[in-house]
Amino acid sequence: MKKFFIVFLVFTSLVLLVSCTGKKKVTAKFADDLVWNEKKGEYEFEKGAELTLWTDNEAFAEKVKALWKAKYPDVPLKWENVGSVDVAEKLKLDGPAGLGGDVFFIPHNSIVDLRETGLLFEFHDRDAQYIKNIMLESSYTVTLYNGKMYAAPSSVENIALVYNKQILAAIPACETTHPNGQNAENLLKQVEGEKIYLEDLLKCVAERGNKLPNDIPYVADRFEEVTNGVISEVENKHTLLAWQLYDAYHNYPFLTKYGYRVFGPTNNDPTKFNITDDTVKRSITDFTGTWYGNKDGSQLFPGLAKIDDMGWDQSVARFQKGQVAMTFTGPWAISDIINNYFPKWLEEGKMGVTSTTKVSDIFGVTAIPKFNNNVNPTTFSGVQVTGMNIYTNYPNAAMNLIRFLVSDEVMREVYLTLGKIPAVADSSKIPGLKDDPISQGFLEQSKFSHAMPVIQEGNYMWDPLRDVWTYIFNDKMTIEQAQQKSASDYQKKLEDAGRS
Amino acid sequence: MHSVNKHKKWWQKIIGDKMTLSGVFSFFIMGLGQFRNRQIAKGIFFFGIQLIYVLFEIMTSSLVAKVIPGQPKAWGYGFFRKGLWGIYTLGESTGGRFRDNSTMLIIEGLIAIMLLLVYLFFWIYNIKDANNTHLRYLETGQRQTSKEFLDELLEKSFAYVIIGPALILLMLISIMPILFGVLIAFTNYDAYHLTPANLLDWVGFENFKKLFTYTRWKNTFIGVTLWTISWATLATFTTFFGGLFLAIIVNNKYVSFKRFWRTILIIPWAIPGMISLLVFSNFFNQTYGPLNQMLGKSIPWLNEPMHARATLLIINFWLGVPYFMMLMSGLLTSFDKTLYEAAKVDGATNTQIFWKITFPILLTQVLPLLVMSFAHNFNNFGAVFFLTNGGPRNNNYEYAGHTDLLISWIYKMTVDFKMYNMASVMSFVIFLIIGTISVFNFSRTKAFKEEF
Repeated sequence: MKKFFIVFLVFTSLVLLVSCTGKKKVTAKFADDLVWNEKKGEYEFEKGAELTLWTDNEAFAEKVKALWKAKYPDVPLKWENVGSVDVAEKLKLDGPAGLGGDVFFIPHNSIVDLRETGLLFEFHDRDAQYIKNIMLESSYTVTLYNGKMYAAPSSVENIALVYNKQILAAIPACETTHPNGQNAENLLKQVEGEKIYLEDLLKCVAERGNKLPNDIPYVADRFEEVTNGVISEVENKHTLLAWQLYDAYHNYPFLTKYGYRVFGPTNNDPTKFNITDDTVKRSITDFTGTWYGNKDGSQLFPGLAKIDDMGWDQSVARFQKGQVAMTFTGPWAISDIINNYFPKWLEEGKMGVTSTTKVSDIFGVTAIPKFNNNVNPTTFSGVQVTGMNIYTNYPNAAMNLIRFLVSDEVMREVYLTLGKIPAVADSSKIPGLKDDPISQGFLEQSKFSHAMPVIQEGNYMWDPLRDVWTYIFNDKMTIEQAQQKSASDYQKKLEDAGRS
Repeated sequence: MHSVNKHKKWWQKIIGDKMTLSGVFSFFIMGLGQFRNRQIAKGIFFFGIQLIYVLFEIMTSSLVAKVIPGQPKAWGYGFFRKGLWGIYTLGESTGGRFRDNSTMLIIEGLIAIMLLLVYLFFWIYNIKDANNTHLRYLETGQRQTSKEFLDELLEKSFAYVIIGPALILLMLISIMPILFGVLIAFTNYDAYHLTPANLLDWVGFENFKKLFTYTRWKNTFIGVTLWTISWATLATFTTFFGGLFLAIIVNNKYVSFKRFWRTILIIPWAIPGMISLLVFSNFFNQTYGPLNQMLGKSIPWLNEPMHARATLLIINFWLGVPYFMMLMSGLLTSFDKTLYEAAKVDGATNTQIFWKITFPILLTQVLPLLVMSFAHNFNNFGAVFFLTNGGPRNNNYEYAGHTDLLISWIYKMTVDFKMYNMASVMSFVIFLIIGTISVFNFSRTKAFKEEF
């Protein structure tokens, strides 16, 4: 009988186990679930509200928690470590099951994913207006879709021209048609003072073989093989200017000379991929001569076998080691230098680094030089945003947290603790930001940045956008052929993805 | 029991020799027939099972569970009804406050169906038991007590009773996700139909049709499959024979510093494969790679299709050989030395000894591992993803390059393009290929045969 009971118990517990996993019902929340308290200027907290924030930086999370506790001592806030790029996948399962964080940090491209999946809370117009008033325009447009806001921007990032001041100071000025750039002392003055056009810069780099002269400072600190002050030929390859070529994000500016914008002026019209546009053709034509060319004729990258060969390790990583003079990259590359390279140089006394040297003494950031038609190259702006789980149990409390996360006190922490550029419109509110030349350099280019598309097709544009260049360089197609091929690639992707 | 098995009709095997009144009782209410047969404990057991299921259904339905004002009717169904409804309709309400989540509905439906199958098993068994007990009573005039029955059951089919719960857990933990994956292949789950914002639909064999009839898909599928199979075969054989070769050399009696050599050769295995692969992808870079600089040539290691494939095999060789070498070394040292002595006495040459003695014994022992290694290489995502990421590009393929394996192709489809339905179709195909090859080979290995 005992055995019998054991077997029976096991079966019973099994059924109970299954019944426990039966999830609780959660419903989607909408703007009409919100109760606004005009007097306090915030939403009425639900009784017993508890909030969970998903973020991936412990120091920042603890700061936010402390600040929140000081402001709203009655509403407990806890945080869970979820990587911002993992949120979308995790929330797809946890959200509808009622287990997701109430508020989370995500990169802008997750907005599309989560919005299409129906997991992002659509903000009330009151909050949308509030955020529009205090945040950068290029940052919050990412969060808009059909005029509705789905997330609040937190920090911005975009690429810009990042350069090594020590090297550029040792390089003679380039020939330029820029009215102010004629008599500059050296290339550093031209780049820093924005006295050179992008075409001139690329042409000049090409003419010099994209090689560094041997008389740059600290040559021995930079390269492995230096004999009698001469850098070995193997290492001195594409050292004046190199960036991630096999990547649409970094090459996009070169398409925009005559006003091309992917997916139209709003960046969200899937019918306007327009890669076969005449403006694109003219823009590419102006660069392929000395710039890419195809692989045999490329003067800028002589000896580059395939465009695929130039990735992060060959461009930015070499720049960070001080081997490359200029690159197009974003703030992530600099924070890497600050955290990993700079302390090492200080320790080993390389590159002339002493305890008083700042990173900005060696590295500089500025907007990408204008085209010779006086237009600024356009870059994509990447935005880190905070979104709200549509299946939250406490929409009012969560909305208050979102509003809190865009407040000045948290934005200060975004800059100080995270080291990112806060997406605030008025950067004077962030102490130190105004005097930080590196952040200011990126901010300068951010004026000429536009939001990335927030439609599903945005996921399909990257490969075709990159491959325009690949087809020209690797496959030696003409510009028109490359454009056609890229356009048909895009079309194919849409069909396969189920877009009818 | 009392009639010969082979004369039984199919239904007799299921519900017992004859439908009796007890059987009818149990047909309607589980355990009732057992009560009629005066087998109280057994009756309580069956009735208890039914009670649990019925109570569970009621407890989860809107009769008892919390109702959210305004919720759709289906949200008030009990667990089993909701499950069946969900997997059949894939949800009805979308967009608003009460959204049906098709993927979750499929999972819930599968759980419901599986639990109902368990229930069905008990229900049929309960009828059969009622019939047989009753028939036996008519024949012999004896009633088996529940205790006697239990003793008999535990004696006759103890193994089944004990693994029963584990089997159910296995169903939920292991079979359910597989079935879920298969079912997704029959839906339109893609970037424009994401749950819970949209509802999914059953589309039948549309996706399979697409894979085998659309020219672009077909070409990619055939190309990638052929490469995957040749890769898996070559990768397995190169590492296997490479490992064997090294093991034999290292174990040769003329080699000194055996331990030293073994340590050196095992090193590639000790480094995390991912890191080696990332390092290698730079090492083989055509323009900047140290290898080409050393050689003073511009060899497209990873940039031309055939080169890239060869490079991939070479690197996989480097990564995979130590494992086989260690394995074989271990086996070789354990061989019975008398065999060799006997062969020597008979005048066998070293080559003969190797091919006639060492190799056959070795093969018997490592063949199952070879099959597993084949399956592993077939799905060797890491090697391709970290080294070439499928490149070089192939303009005639859909989302795949020259070195993409089926598994990395699936990865690109799901992660980059959210074609869950097509990826699921592909996984199903992979499962068929690997499953067939593995089962076929496993069942032919001696190690397998000797075990059963």
